[in-house]
Parts: sequence; C-alpha cells; structure tokens
Amino acid sequence: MSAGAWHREWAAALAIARRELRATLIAPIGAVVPAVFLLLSAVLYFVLAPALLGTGFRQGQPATLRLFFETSTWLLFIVAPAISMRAVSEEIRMGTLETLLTAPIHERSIIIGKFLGAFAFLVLLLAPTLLLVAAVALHGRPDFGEIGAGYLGLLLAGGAAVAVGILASTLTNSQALAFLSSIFFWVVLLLVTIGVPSAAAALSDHLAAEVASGVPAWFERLLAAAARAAASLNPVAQVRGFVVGLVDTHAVAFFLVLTAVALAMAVRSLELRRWL
Amino acid sequence: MIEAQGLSRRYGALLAVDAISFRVERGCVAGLLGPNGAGKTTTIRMLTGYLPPSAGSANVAGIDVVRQPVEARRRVGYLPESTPLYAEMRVADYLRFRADLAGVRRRSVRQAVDRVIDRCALGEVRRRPIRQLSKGYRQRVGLAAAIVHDPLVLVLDEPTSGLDPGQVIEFRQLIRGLAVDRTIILSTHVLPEAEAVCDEVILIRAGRVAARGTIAELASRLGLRRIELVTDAAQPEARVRRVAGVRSVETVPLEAPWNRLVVIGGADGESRARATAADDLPARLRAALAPSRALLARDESPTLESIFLALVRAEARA
Repeated sequence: MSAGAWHREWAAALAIARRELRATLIAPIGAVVPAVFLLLSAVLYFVLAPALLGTGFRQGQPATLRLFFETSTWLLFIVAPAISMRAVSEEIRMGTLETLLTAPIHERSIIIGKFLGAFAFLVLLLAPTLLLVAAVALHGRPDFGEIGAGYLGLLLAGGAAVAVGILASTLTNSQALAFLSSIFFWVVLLLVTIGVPSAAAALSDHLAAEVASGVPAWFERLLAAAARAAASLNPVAQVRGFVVGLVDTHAVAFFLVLTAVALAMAVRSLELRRWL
Repeated sequence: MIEAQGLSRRYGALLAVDAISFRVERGCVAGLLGPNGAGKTTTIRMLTGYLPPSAGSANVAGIDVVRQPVEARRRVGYLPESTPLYAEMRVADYLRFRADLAGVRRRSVRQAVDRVIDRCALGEVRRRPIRQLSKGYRQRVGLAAAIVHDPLVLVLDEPTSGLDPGQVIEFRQLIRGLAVDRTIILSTHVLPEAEAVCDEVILIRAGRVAARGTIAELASRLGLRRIELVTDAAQPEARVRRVAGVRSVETVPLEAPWNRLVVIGGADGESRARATAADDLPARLRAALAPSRALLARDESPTLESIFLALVRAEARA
C-alpha cells in the first residue's frame, strides 16, 4: 500500500472512531452503562466489602485496590459487550453499513475505527475510577505499581472483550443478539477452561483406580497437556496476575492475541456480508 | 464513463442479473429502468463495488471495480435507495464525516463541505440534526454526501422516491446540473422521471437488458405512436384490436355510451415499411369503429411509458 493510501485508510478509521465514540456517548447506553458500572464498583468497594467481608475501603485494611480490580474485571465482561453491541449491528439495521462498504476504504479500516471508538469509550468509562485511587492515596500509601498493573489488566481484558463484542455485532442486525452472543462467548470460554482441567483430573483419577495395568504414560501426558492448555485460556485467571501487580507476558500476549483474532474475524465477517 | 460487461449476479439459485452489458459516456445521464424486482438495485450495487459480481466485469472511470475496488470507489459517488443517514448527526458534521471517509485531504475538507452545502442548498439546515429534516432535505443531504469528494461517476438508486412533486422537480434540476462534467446513472421505475432527466435509457427486465438508447431512438425503432379516441361504439376494444399495427389498447369508460380508447400503435420488429404504414393508423382506427362515431382526441409520439409497456408486453408474448 502506498503512503497516500495508508494515510487515507487511517484518516477514515479515525473518522469512524470519532463518530462511534460520539454516537455511543449520546445513545442511552452511553449514560446507563457508565452509571451502573461506577455505582456498582463504588458500592462494592466502599460499602458491601467493608460491611460483609471486612475488606475493601476500611480502617486498618491494606491500602490496595485489588478488590476493585477483581470485581471490575468481572463487570467488564458484561460492560464491554454492552458498549460494542451497537458498533456494526446498528449500521446493518439502519442501512448505513452500505455507505461504509461503498466508501473507498478497506473493511479493515472500518473495524479498526469501530474498535478504537468503542475502546475510547471504555477508557472514558474507567477514568472516574481514578477517584478510587485518590481516595486510597489520601488515607494510606498504596503501591502505585500494583495499581498500574491493575489498570493495564483492565485495559487489556477490556480491549479483548470489546473486540469480541464487535465481532458479535458484525453477525446480526440486532443489538440484543450481539450483546447476548458475546456474553455467551465468555460463558462458554469460562466453562471450557474450568471444565476441561477438572474433567481431565477426574478422568485421570478414575483410570488410575480402575485400570489395573496402569494408564499409558502418553495418555497421562495428553490429559495433562489438555488441562494446561484449557486452563491457560481462562480469561479470569489471566487477569488475576495483573490484580496482584504481576505483569505476565503470557497474560499480555493472551489478551492481545485474542483481540487481534477477534478483529481479524470481524473483518472477514464484513467481507462475507457483501455476499449475502 | 461507466461500463458493464456480461455483469451477472446470482443469489443462491436465483439469477438476479443475467449478463448485463452497457456503456455510459462522460457527461451523460443514463436511466436504469425496469419494473420492481428487475435487478436495478443489484446492478447498481455491483457498479458501486458493494456487491461482488458472480460473473462479468464493470468499469467506472476506467477502473475495474472487482480488481481495484478501493480505487474504483474513490471515483464513485453513491446515493443508496432509502438514503441511509446517521440521524443523530448534524448536517455539516455528517458531510465532514463523509469527506473524511472518502479520502478528501484534511486541508480541503472544510472547502469541500461548503461547496456541496452550497450546491445542494443546505445552508439553512447545516447546523440541524438530520433527525429533524424533511424527506426532501434528507435526500439532498444524501446527494451532497455522495458528491463531497467530487467523483467522476455518480450512481443514484431511486433518487426521487418519496419526494413531493415540488421536491422532485428541484432534485431533478440538481441532478441535471451535476451531469455537466460527470457520468451519472440513476435507477427509477418512474418513467416520466427518466424522460425528464436522462439522455438515454437502459430498460431492464428480469435481469436482462430489454432495450437501450435515447428515448427518441427507442421510439423511432419501434415506430410507436399513441392515439386517443373517444367513441360511442359498442365493444370498441375488440374492434380496434383487429386493426393492423395496434400493439395495445386500453379502455377508459366515460359517460355511457362513450369510451375513451388509448391505442399504442406501431410496427412490430424492425420493418421501416410497416412503421410508415402506421401513418394512416388514425384513419384505419376510425374505419374499424364505423359507423359509430369516433373522435380523434390525441395523436402524439409515444411517451417512454408506452415504449416500456410495448417492450414488456412484447417480451411477455414471446
């Protein structure tokens, strides 16, 4: 691609990102999602956890935001699909996708623009949580390295969740369906990554007890490998390191690869849409 | 310049467009005409690079839409059928967005937006959200967005559908004005529209080109004329149908016993001799209705409508 063409694609992607961000901000979802997210985060950290668990924001507790980061990650896997569900679905429903697909740009630029717009919204959504950091810093001496790692984890996991949400929104003209399918993706991923290791362990125990001649070593190794592979795809486990201040390259790569794969599939899905 | 060669498109088992070929020169407005479902929108979507063709090729401004889709689309302005717009955006913001999408240089965007706002008379509404605009204004916003990057080729799908008569006339003038240095193709099933705006027409029917040429060419090729008679003859339609050279008859009942007959007459096929023979058609029609009274109410060269009907019926008979 020539420099001029590259520049045009990038300018178009940024234009799409700006429009996406603005449209999300003025859509009902742009007010509801941040309100619910911030309210839940604050209530959990300042009220529920201190009252019920004796942790969180409370006299005598360590000056840490671990609890906030842990709960936010869970919330993020619901919040991100809500942010990205409209990205392409709404364009399909309104017929405006035809305008994008007849603009002199590659499908790639459309998806990158949509991703950047939704991701920017996510960053805006997380910005007010810096008040939590301020509150903790005012009353104690938190580890800013740990907090930084926590935010990095949120952004990486959030980026992957937004990318999956955008992929889902290229598949349907219904925002609700896009939302549900990306939630479904995470639920299935969690079930598989928790289920496969425990099933493998159970099977291995069962065989050891029942088969007198002993289980072949290669089969044991296979089960163990399957269990490890499945466990390493567990998004919640991948986030846990960041929460305690650990920036693990494996976890960083996991979310970046997931983001890239989801976006590439979204591009392909848009290309295929021309054939419908 | 727009050129289609053997352009085909299949949806599953349905062949929506079947090896269509045509060519539209620069400075020309071509009308893509046909009944609903004839394949107009599918053809247009292939020309704009939205749909890949199943077979054949298309060129806009000398660029192949399949091989160089992005380059081809840079030269095309497209107004899709139902004019999809972002309702929440303001007019000027939307046009700026479309200029960015179309690859207008950053420095020239403001100028490009001002130019199309001026050209499409959108000055009064430039700060208004699109949601609040009338259908006529929305259509003009769609057209302004389609020409914001000053394309050589303009493709309009049913550009005046849903407009009131005043808006239709304004919009047609706008299109004619744009044709000066561009190639324009527009689809319509409103025949007077094609007559008012187009230099030539491409009639398509069931995914094929049924006829093409200027309206005058089509009329003379068919040797068609439209004659209206008012008669008090009993069962006049059956009597008139037997007259040589009559292609179609329509009866409009008036106060009894009078009827108005609309007769489309002309030669079948190519024969010039028979076309000239149509000259005495009014006399022969009146002879067929004698001894009842028959008054010649109108005798004119045909409208596109009559050409269209004649062609569609000729195909239906064949």
